Amino acid sequence: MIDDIFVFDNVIHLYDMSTPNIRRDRADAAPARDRILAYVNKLRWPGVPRHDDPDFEWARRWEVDDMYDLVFNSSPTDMAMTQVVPMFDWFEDWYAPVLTQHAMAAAHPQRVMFCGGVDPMYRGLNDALDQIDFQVGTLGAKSLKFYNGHAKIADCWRCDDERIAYPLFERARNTGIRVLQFHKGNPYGLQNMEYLSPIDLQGPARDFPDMNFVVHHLALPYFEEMLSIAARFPNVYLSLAGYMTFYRIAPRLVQDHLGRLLQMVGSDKILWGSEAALAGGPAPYLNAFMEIEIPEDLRVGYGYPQITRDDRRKILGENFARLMGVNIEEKKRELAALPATNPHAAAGAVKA
Amino acid sequence: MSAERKAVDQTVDALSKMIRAHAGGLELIDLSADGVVTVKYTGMCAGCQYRPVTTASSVRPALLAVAGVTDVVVLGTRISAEAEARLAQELAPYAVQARVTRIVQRSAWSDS
Repeated sequence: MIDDIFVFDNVIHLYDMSTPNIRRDRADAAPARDRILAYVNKLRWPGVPRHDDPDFEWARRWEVDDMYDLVFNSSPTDMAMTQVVPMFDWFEDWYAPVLTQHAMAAAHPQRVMFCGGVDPMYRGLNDALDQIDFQVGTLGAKSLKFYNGHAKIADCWRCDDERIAYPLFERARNTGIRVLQFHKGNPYGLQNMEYLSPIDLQGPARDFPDMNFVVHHLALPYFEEMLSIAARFPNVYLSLAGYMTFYRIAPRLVQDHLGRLLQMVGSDKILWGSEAALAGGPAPYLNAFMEIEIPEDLRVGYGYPQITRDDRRKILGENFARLMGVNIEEKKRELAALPATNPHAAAGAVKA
Repeated sequence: MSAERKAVDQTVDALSKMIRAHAGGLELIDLSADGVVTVKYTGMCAGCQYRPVTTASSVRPALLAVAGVTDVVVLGTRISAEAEARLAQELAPYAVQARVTRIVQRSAWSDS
């Protein structure tokens, strides 16, 4: 809890950036891993002494205890969803593997939900469909993550492709999944941008009105397209997914985006997402989010509304809890009964 | 005094009929015990950049004219207090709010 607000982090990842996980059959694999690490080293905020140590090895496979410490012991987070990243381009066991995400949820079922992930271009559509059955039926996935922009154009696919994408969504629906999630925008390296545009989600959002579509990273640089889609489609939600990391670099831009989101989409459809572990611990970003304001000149000049405590409460936890069927009051009681492993739980707001 | 559900329903229906001119509509989501009405735009109005204008000129004044309604919340769109004041000032000379409220009330009564 931060300032008595329940925090349900939409997205954390137990990444595997270790050298043994790098594909040996792809010359672009090791440089891509190094590029990603260099990128996140720049965006990550300081605040966790262990991670601020220059000798800390980020090219690692994240394990459950380290992740729990980062997200729950060092940050005022109450619940989180750990998400597979089915990016197979450069990693043998994917960028954020199925097994490490599942291990996190299995070790801490009261606090962590497992979001599986599949890709029809990995071993074909039938294998992806079997994987949905396995990840939902056997591993207990509550949601599924998709990544349809890849390094090779032949590996890319569109969400509105009725031959490839729709069977995935139909199978997910048949297994009881109601929340589908998509990495959009934010290409890694030299991928073609168009596969990371959110415009291909309009068809599925229209054709699967009983499913909810969560788009990550505000689909930047496709912000205006994303805004229009989220404003028009009642079943499209936006995950901030690491977005607050930019606040240190460009606070004005973050205020501008947030103000426009509140004006056009509303705080009912925005989800908090820290993107730990590569973005670092969630604590400093949570503190920044509690303090962010929409400045007067943006309120006057662009008509953006001021962010309120209600907005923060919805964004930080209520919206995702509603989507995932979590009763916050019941969950608070359940978590309060757990052994005291989170020193921040009783302390309320923390400063990193 | 609490707002009557029937009066709120009729007002939202009357507003929705007017908004059909925009190929859109208005839907009642909630009426709270303390008189806060929550609505959302549908059709072409969902996601429209000009929702705040229709809200300020028609939806808000017509619903606030219903006895017991204390506030109007529109899901998915909100503008700053400064922008609301600017809109109100610009609309004032045309008496748009009063005219819309009168039309909506007449339409709601004729349906009841």
